[in-house]
Amino acid sequence: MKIPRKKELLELQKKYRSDKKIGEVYGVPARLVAYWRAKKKIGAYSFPKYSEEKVQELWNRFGDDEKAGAELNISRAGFRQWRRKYGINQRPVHLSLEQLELALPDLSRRKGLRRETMAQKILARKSGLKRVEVGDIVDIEPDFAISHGCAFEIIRKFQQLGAERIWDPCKTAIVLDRGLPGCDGNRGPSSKIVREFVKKHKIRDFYDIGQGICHQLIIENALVSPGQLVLSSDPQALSYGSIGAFASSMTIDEMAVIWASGRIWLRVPETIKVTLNGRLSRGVSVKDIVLKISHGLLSHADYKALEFYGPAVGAMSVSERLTLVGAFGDIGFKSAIVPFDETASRFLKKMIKSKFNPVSSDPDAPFADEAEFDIAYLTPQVGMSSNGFSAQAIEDVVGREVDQVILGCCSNGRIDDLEVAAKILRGRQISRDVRAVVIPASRKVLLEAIDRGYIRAFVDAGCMIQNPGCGSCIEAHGQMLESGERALSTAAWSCPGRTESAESEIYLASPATAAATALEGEIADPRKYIK
Amino acid sequence: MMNRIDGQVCRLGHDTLPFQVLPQLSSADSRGQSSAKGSLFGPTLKLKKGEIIVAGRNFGCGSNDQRSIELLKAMDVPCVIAASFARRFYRDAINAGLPVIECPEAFEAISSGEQIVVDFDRLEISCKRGIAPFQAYPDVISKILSSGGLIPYTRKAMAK
Repeated sequence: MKIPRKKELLELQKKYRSDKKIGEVYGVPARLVAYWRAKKKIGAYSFPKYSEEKVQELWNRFGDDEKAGAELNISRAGFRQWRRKYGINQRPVHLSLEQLELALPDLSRRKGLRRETMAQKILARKSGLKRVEVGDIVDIEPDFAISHGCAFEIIRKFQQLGAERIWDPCKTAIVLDRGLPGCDGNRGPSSKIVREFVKKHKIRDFYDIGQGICHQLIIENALVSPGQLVLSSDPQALSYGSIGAFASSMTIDEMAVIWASGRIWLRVPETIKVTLNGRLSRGVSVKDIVLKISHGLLSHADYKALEFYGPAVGAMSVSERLTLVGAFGDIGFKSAIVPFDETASRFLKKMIKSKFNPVSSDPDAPFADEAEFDIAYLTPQVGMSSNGFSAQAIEDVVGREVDQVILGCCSNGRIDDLEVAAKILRGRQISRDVRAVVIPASRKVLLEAIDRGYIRAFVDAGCMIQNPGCGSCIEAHGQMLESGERALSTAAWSCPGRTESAESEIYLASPATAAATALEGEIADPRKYIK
Repeated sequence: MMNRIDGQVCRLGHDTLPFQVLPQLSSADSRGQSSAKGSLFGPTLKLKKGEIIVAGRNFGCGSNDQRSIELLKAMDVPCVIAASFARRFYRDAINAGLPVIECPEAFEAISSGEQIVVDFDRLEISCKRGIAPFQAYPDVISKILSSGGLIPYTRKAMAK
């Protein structure tokens, strides 16, 4: 068959678009039409990205290639090409508002989009208002209220308030994790008060000694879900942000008021968008990111919230996200959130049967600040306790003698953390100058560590195992530091005096660094132990 | 809450931790009942009784508890002025009935040892270099402050 003329083919392509349909006109297969097109140098049909009407409308509105192009996110020359493609060459006759050089409010954008951050959306939802602005003070009812080791003090305040019933026993959790089992005899009666209180008020979610640390238990038992407002009496309460909840910490007085009335005042915080780019290199963990960036974000900490984005955050497991967000409360951040995504969804699906209501920030939400970090070249970091905030690369502190190593706690006591440490310690012996303590975050973690043989590896290496809980991380029980001693811990936060003696020094590091340090008796680079 | 406060200033820098201001917070034997006798501050920070604290950004950062506020109240600190506050300190102070004022201009203008007047009716701080205005408290906060703290405020509200 003779090849049709180019003009004819072009007309048919304009009418039918696909090769198959053109082929049907001639009664030939589509591949033959493709061959004809190739012979006649006709490209495959592509839909125009911007329609003639759209280009005409923008040209009439702006009368300027640059401004009209900016609307479509293309360059001045790009818009001109579109215009020429459709043969729009005449300047617009009527001037419209946009062609005047006036700074008009961005009405068209504001109308369609709400432009709110996650903090604004969740607080508006809970306060019953349509919209709240940053800096507003709102009166809210939380979705869940959690109190931990200081529960007996809250109970005392609650009784002082004269309240008879707790606001909602189903939305309250009490976890006894701190300072237990008591060693100084002071903690005994307080736990008894808590247990009696729990029975009297029929609080459903009560976790007694040895179950674990509150943040871990609440996540493990899926008591909070994405998009919820969670208030807790512990400064590391921000952890629940790891699954996309807005979590914030409360003081003892405030928690007592929540128990009694179910309401509390909150300020709508500014939000900082933090983007983490790159991939972690071998031997470097999320803890190292936290130590590095918390130092960088310190000057912005006052009362703001954080939202984490970027490929590095997307690649993190929920356990790693717990490590990431948990530490920022102590610096002064109100909340830290990893927006709900596929990873969190997969994690929660196993546990939560009911539907949850995740919230995300609008694409053009008004972030107070944006910070970007490239983590590809990050080396293991060590947080210094001298002023609580600074972090140094491991190379600068290698060789400093350490008396005690604490591995675990709420920030790094999960099974993946113990796995990293166990792999380093397996078949080796810790230095005789070091006391090493392993604190699993919960009973479930401990059981899994036993099954996988990590606990055996720790004990073989010469470590001690403490019951799941806060352990030696805070001034509680077990291995206290003595004056002039130095410890390296995987705790979320430290400041002089946190483990009892004000003269002692505490370094913060990742589980891998902690394990390597325990082996050598001095701060050591973990990368040489990781193959 | 008084409507007018005047007093001498103790000026601190940025990112001040409660531990740096109140060293007894970090010692084990002080479980909230530490006596507030004499100068609590080390050789560099000397807070005398009744002085107004003026500080820089992020005052009161670090894991603190209500003890720091109790100790400040025991030192008769009438109010704290700072360029900005760490969240927990800000909440703790309001909930304990200690007025806190966010005013970056005041931090720039006021020097240590100066006499200043804080007027809560006219919402301004008068110092040697002039007058610095500050923002009024929202309704809930002024009610809490005038009741003397969150606990008395809630008790009152629940009695109604």
